[in-house]
Amino acid sequence: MWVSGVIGLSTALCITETCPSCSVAVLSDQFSPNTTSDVAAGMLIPHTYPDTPIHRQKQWFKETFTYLFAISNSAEASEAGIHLVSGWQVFKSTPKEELPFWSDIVLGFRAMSEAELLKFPQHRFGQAFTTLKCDCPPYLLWLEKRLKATGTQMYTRKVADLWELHNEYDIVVNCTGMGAHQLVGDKQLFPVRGQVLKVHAPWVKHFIRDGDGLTYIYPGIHRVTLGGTREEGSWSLSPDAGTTRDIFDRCCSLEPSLHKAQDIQVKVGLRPSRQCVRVQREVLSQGGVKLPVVHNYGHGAGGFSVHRGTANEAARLVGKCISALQGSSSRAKL
Amino acid sequence: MRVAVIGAGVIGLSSALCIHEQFHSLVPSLELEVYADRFTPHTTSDGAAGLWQPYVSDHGNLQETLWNKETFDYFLGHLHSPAAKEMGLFLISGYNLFTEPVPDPSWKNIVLGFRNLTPKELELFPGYSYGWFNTALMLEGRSYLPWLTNRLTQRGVKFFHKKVESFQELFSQGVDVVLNCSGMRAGDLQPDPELQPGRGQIIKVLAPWVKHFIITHDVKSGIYNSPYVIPGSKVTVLGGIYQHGNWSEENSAKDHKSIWDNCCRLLPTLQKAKIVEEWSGLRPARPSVRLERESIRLGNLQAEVIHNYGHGGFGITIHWGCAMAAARLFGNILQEKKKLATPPGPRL
Repeated sequence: MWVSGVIGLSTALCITETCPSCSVAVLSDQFSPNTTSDVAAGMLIPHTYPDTPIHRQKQWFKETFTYLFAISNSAEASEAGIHLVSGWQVFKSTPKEELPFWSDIVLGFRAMSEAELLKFPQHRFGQAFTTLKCDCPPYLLWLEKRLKATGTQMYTRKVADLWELHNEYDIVVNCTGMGAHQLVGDKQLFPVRGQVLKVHAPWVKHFIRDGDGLTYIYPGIHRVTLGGTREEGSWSLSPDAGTTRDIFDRCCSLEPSLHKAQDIQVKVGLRPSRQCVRVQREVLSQGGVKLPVVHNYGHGAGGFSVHRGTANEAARLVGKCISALQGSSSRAKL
Repeated sequence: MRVAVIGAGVIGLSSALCIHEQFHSLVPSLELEVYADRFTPHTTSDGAAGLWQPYVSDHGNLQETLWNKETFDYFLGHLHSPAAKEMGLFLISGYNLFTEPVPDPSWKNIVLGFRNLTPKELELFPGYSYGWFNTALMLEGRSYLPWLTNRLTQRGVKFFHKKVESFQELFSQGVDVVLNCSGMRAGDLQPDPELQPGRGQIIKVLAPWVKHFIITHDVKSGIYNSPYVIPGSKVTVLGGIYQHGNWSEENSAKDHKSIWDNCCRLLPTLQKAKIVEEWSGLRPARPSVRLERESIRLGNLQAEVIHNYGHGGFGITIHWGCAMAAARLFGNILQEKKKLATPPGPRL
């Protein structure tokens, strides 16, 4: 198991649930609050992957939404950082697809009324709905806590090559996000740089998102995430001051009260983007030795929205690896 | 022209502001004074969460529905103003929950995005089988009252910290018009058996993950006697107490337990919320708002009182419509006293 963003941790958790006799270890060079997941707002609004069949994306989103919905309504919700939030997605011109594939999974999805659109004079069409948000670090810390309770070990370790692990582990699960570019040489994986501002504006109770995906306001538990940018191919993790100004201006134009926001923090993350999410089994071979690997990376802008669904699928693939290994060892180490 | 406003809650301060805004340039001699024994943050308005929402049934009181609408529309128009944050004004969405289907409220077209709840949404609230979702406004008393006070002070309105014992007391000092915005204590100035306390108690907690208001309704127990959760900009208000005829402003342990248990059952995530404050207050309840003129004979002088009290649990919701109506009544008084030139128009 490698890396401890939302994909790594949730996949590890799914594996402990489906294979209780497995011994699971999480290896990472970064833990919360220094992962890409910590930068993300964690909103459950799916990104559409061009090359993944829609029914599969819908299944992933549905599983994720259902899982988090149950937690949001329990006593653990505040610790897990999961909460419901309502708001609007607004468009400057009516989109081709007025009903996205996920409209029946979020709550109360409907077109905005004329009166509601008055609040957005530059926009002509909008959708109102209620969805979930996973605040980080709380959600990652909660996942880590759940993992530790199952006996899963967490190690800070930088792995340069999957083969380093073949003596210690029977199966490797690769959730390295952007790191897969180097680790497994996946040239289909590319960064999409995102800069966000996290501000103090506790009177903002709704999310507002421009349908172009570039400008958004996502209220979390303590801070509101203002975004953003989508810079394909940029690897820079340094905040850019001009971009900060631009994001702030765009968000204030959607929600003027943000002019009074305080304590602006700037963060940058690289979305690990791919035409389709790689959830796939592979058996590596070297000099007669085999190493089963399950990949779960390339979630780009939609990691939180589908994380549990892809984690479930990856856990099923791990199950298949175990079955294939059965006979040679009775307890698989991951 | 000396005008005295009795009461410094949302009704008194907003009426004063409305009158000053409309008449100070037309009546150069206008002197406005506010008299109260309690100022923010010790008024009834300061205890209110500040959610704009009328009662679910208007009992056919169309006038009040119009005043509610005037208030909503006015503040909706100010949402994007630079003063919004200072006023404590922002949009908020949420849920009204019922155990059986009910007719739509009179205010369904005043709020934004009013709709019924879907079955999946109702799964969040076991025990409730019907409900509404809508977007409304918050106007937090703890911010709005200081904001009103600042505006009035800037305009030269004077404040006096004293309990007025009678209208007479003010008239004998030379006040020409009294605005009676004394809320719960109006009965001390002039007996009014229709005015009764609707005692409420609230618990303020820190629960910043709650982004929606949730108001439950129990037809049997009556308005506000069923749990509600209202998130503000700093604290979340938990409530659900309405005791008609109870004058106690002391916090009750029994009510505390009832609010806490019921709200945690409604929203299990609240179990982890930290309690920061508790408060009790008296809603100035009346079958309808008393908003009318009364002429009082004092010797050979005619003194004018404009009553504006009895707003129950919907003071913030209705206040601006009432302030405008009070200002209109004041305008009538001015015209009668010939203090106001006849408005421009055809001369007959």
